[in-house]
Amino acid sequence: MSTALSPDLVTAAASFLLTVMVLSYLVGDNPLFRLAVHIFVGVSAGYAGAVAWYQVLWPKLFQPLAAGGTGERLLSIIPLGLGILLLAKLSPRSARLGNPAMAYLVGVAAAVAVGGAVLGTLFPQVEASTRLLDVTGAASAPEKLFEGSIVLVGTITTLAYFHFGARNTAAGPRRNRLVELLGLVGQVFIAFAFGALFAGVYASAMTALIERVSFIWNFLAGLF
Amino acid sequence: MAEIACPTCGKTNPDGVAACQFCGTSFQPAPGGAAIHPGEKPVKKATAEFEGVRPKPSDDDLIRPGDPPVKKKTSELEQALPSWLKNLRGHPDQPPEPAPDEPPAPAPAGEAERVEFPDWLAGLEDDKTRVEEEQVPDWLANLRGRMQEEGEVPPAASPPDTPAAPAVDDLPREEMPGWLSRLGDGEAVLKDAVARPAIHPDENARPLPRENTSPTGAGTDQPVPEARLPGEEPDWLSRLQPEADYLPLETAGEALMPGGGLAGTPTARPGEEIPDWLAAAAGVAAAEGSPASPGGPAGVTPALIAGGEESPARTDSSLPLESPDWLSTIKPEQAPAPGPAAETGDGQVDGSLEPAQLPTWVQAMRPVESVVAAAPLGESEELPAEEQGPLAGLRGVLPAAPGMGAFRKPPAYSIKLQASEDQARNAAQLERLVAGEGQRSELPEPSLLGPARILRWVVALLLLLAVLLPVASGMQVAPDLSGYPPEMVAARNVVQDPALVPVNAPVLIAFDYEPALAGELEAAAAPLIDNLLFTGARLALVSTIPSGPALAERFMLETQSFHQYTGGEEYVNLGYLAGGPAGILDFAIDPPAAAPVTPGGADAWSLPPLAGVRELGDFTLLIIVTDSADTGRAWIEQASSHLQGRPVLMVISAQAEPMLRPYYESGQVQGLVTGLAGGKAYEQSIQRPGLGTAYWTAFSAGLFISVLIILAGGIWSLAGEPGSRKPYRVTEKP
Repeated sequence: MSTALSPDLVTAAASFLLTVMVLSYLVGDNPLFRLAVHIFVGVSAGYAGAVAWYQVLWPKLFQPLAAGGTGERLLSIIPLGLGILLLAKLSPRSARLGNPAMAYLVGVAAAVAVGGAVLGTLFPQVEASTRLLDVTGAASAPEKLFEGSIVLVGTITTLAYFHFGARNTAAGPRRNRLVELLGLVGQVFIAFAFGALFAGVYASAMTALIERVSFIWNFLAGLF
Repeated sequence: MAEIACPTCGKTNPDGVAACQFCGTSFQPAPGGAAIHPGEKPVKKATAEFEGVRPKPSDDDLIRPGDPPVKKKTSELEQALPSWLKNLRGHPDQPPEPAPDEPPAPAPAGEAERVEFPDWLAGLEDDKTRVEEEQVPDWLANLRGRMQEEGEVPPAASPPDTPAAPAVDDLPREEMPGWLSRLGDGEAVLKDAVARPAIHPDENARPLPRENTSPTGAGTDQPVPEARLPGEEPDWLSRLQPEADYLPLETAGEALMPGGGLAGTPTARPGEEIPDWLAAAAGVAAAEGSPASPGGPAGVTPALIAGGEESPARTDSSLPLESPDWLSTIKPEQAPAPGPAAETGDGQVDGSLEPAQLPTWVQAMRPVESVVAAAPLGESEELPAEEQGPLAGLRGVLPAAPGMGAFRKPPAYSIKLQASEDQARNAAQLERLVAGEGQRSELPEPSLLGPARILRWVVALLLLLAVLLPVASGMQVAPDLSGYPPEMVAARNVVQDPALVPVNAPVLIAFDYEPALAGELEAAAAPLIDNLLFTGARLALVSTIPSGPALAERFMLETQSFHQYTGGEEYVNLGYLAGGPAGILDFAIDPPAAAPVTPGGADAWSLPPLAGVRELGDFTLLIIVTDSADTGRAWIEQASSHLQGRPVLMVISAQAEPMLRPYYESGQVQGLVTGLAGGKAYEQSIQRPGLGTAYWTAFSAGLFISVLIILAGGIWSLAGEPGSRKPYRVTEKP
């Protein structure tokens, strides 16, 4: 890295300082850490606002209104009106004016999410679960059967663990013994799942640390 | 000893006391202040003294919801019944016997009707005689006998079935008090003693002691006073004696009517000024020829007194003699039409009292037992009785005057919470918890060199050394992977398959990860994109995260500079897709409409990388680079159905793998590169070292140290501090 004062050097120096300020949390909460956090939050919000204006509002709303045809202008009035009504949410007195726009947003988002979940996740996953023990085309039938059996048992027992139906007995609500036994096995699979999640998070954090340490070392090595 | 009945609480007090010993009510007339005149402003008076009048009910007397009705013996309440009611019960079907020397009085209106008594009164008949004997003192019985002989007192004034008591004259000398026997003439003394309370208007202002009418002291438990010589008589008695000369015995007899109907009745003396209201009332009564008090001069007894039973209450001695003008003008007219039929057999004026005509349901609503039982026996005799309405016959129910009368508190119902011991214990525990929330607990000041802080520094130092040493030294001590993950192999096969990804084919790449995980995802995606770019693929970059377009530019600049791809020529950045899943769906349906321009404002779909692409299916490959399972799932759910069978590859963070791997297992995703390990494997498989290889040794060392620390911590927790792992036991504090 060149020692001359260049935009790359300034950018690298700022990155180095911010990285060190964040790592200073090792000694506890301190002003340097809080300053770095505030800078990140502010920069992120400002950058998101700039992106929303330059890539959403201007090209998709105001540019058609200003320079578009009649059809584009008419179609742009609808989102403009809904957007203005949504701004009414800023004041409690006029918040109800934004209810139609909010209802539209929530309704569309819910419809999109539910439709995608059913058609893109639920049905394909159920179909895939029915082919766990299908050895057609498998390189090793026993391995396929073993793997499919593990997935089948794990799926059933995990579902059984989350089955909270119980009979009302004299000693209190009591689950069916079979369901209770399956639930105990399901707890083991759930524990493995949480362990895998923790390992994945730890691996991601470790990779981020390696990237930052490598950056610091390269920056310092470039200075000297 | 004579007793004075308190007009407020009704309890008896010894004679001579200035105030009630129970409620503190003064017996002395207020100097002109007790009367309430029209137009006067209300004066706030202390009523605390009345609080002690009424006995407080105990918890046993309370009637709680759900309690079964308990049958009570009501015969003992007989003494609380008014005398007229007793008389009615004693002779329900025969009129009172008229006096032998008196012309027969017309039958009272109340007698003409057949009176039906409720059940609650039926049980009292058996004790009638005993009660009459108990409640009629001897002196009164003697007096009645004497009066009946003289024909001056209506026989109805005494119960017809009252056993004949010996007259005063019939009493032997030995049974007379000494002072009475020395006087010689019992009748004269009786006149004197009876007439005194009704003589002086001033005396009427003070409560009329009923016992004053019994000079012999009979019927009381007090010792009989010794006889006094004329010179030894008290002053008040001396003043009263001359006045007995002009007081007719008839008037005295009226003053002794049962119930005290004439007690305290103002009687004018000759030459003494008569109040206007009294004169007017007397005039009206005389003009109408009221026979309400036969045998007595109509001009002496006001019409309002002779008009009904309310006289005792209205003429209570505690009330001042001053009557407002409106009352003096109203009462004579309001008095019931006098007539012979208006008087019942017991001497009380019937008036509008028609209890037999009340509906049964109204009688059933009368709070007889509860009210009568609450009133002490003997007290109710002194209280005014109601004449009409559902409360007819009850004494002390309504105050005699505003601000006076029986001051009763409403029955106090228990508000004690009915809770079990467990509930009480839980409530107490909750109360302690709530109280503890308000107590400020001082947090210990963290010491700079505390054990936890030192342990944290040790752990951080070990990890930093494990990461820094391989990076600084450039050592590659970690062994290469012996095998490749099948999902990574599947992704590589897709990229390297010319049938799936032809040369110079358009490829859509979604950069949906946060800057914090850019190091991991850049290391994972770099070998895949590098392998793809060798095919000359035209790239379209898009993101659903505002920072995604910038990260995409950084990725191309930092990791793919070898291929010398330039924006607008070999790749195009479509920018940011707003709306999350809805934006993805919008882009999948109509990509040119969803992302028309580049971040620089250029028409993206007219640039060379997107030549011939108008819909999502025109892209030969979709690569999703994300660190979020939600974002990856949204892309699969919303875009996979519009890809028209084009393959989908995912480069994901290691933390999102458990959530997104099922999509690879189900065949919705054709290849998967996971984290730094996936990138290292891909680099190793294509023999092109990159960031994955550079970070691999540090990554392996860091994980190794982390595993050691976790194991050490586990061993320390199990063996090093055995006392700190006591089994959690739920204990209930008392």
